[in-house]
Amino acid sequence: MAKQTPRTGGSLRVDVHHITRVEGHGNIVIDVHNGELKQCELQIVETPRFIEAMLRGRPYGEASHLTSRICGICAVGHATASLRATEKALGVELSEQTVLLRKLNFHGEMLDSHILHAYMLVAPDFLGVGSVIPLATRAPEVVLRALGMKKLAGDLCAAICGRHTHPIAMTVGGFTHFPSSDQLETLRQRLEAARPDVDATVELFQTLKFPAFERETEYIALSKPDEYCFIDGLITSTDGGTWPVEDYRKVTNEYLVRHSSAKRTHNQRQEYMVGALARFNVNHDRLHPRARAAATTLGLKPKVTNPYLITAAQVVEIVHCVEDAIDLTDRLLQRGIEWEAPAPPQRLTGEGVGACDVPRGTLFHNYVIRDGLIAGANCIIPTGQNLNNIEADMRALVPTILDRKPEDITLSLEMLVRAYDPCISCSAHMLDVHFV
Amino acid sequence: MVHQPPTGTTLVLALGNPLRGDDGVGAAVLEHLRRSGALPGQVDLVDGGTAGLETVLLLQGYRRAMIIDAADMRLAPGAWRRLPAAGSSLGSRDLSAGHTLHSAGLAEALALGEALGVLPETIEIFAIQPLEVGWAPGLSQQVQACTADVADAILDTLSRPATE
Repeated sequence: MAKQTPRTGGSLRVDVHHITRVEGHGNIVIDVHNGELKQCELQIVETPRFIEAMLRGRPYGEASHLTSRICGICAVGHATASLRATEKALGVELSEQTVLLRKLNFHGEMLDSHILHAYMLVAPDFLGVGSVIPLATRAPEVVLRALGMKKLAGDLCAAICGRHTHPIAMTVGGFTHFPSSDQLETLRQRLEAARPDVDATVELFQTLKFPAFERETEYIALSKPDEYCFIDGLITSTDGGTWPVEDYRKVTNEYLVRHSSAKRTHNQRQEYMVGALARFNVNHDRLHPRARAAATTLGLKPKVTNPYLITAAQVVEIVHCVEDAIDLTDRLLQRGIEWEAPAPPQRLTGEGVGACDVPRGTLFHNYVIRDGLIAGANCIIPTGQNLNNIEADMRALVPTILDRKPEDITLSLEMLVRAYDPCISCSAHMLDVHFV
Repeated sequence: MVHQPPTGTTLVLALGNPLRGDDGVGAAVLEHLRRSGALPGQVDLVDGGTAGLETVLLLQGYRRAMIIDAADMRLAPGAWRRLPAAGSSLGSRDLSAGHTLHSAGLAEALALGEALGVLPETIEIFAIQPLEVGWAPGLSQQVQACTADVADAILDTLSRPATE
């Protein structure tokens, strides 16, 4: 896939068309001439899909189902952000049970996505194989462990929201289906039984030698004072500052560049990072104690500035999500699951912003609803927010590794891009939406 | 779908999405089998939906599996074939060469299962030629017409030892 031209006098061209083991299509282009970095781009060549335009004119109840199709991995994240946007627009107040179930469901997806990325997309690089298939031959127990954990995560989502991907039971104001106490009890037992697999995951990633590379940047995540935040909260930056999610445009400041079909963002610097490592840097003191212990085992001490360690932060979040899911099922079992009608809207016209920290970072959905129909929509996806930061990392990294063989330089760059777990398919959207 | 661990020794697994036209043929055949009242013991019927690599976990633990799926074989719509999974040219894509896990399907799942050494001893694929895998639920007339035949063939196969 990668083409490199031989170096003469400190010149190098790296051209990786369609980086593998990322979701969607992106290219890396590096051009060094006589030791000077002339070009350093992460090109996004994925076709825009115009999801926001599809929403216009649709009844508000359809928005979460349509937007969950933005991603087959973060479907729960998109649906949750979508529902929060609609609920805020229409003044819908959620019950405690709904909030608990949504958090539990969210953990299922976080686990599914992080396990996929850490085990199947990243681990092959460190174990010297090209994909998960040869990894399965070399270390079947590792792949079976990953598949088993993924299955538990998928079953959790299916029990709460009706199926593994693209939730059907989550609706504006609540749920249309509820897990039975028996299902929750079974899930709880399976989550507890997964602890040895979680511990083995921490042990495995502790043995991997992550490349040494440090570049400090602005780290942004949602935060709440009393929990490791994934849903709602305040936009929070390690450079200082918090913003209500309604002010997301003041943080994201989207703009276009010529070489990308995904928009770029910047806040207080030219770039910022979102995702597991940003969340860790912002919210580490609110992790479950077992997750904090895992962070220590993995050598993560905030503020962590090596982007290759995003995967290690994901492993810490795997521990957190399993433990918090156990706590949530306990609370749900203790209070008992009750059938509840979804909370009704207080109005049919309004504007709302929903924000969630999904596996790859902070996700915003912003809807204008008029007479029950979506009049305007804007979705800002985590990978789009990370693109400037990835390029800034590449610009800092390339001069430090120019003495290596071209194929090693290419691998280092691909591993860097993969560390961000980019969902390029999701981030490609060039639509300008004007609220009227 | 929350899949239960194997209770029998033989799995009949339907793959595909009933919301996409003839891709729902597997689920339709499964329904025939459920209603037949002629299933022998030790047979689990599972609708695997559009599962990707996790299909491996559905197959794990069985001695014998039959997979029902729509497949473009360039035949007349509704025509169907029995293919042994071993040696079939399913066109597994090299996941290290330009394909993402978004595109992992049955062929990749079988390749992974083989690498892991967890596949049933016998896997047969009942492949049915679709007319259209579109964006609406419901089978075409031609594909609907073949579902009873495929179900009968599976029942007949189930009544024989796996080695035959």
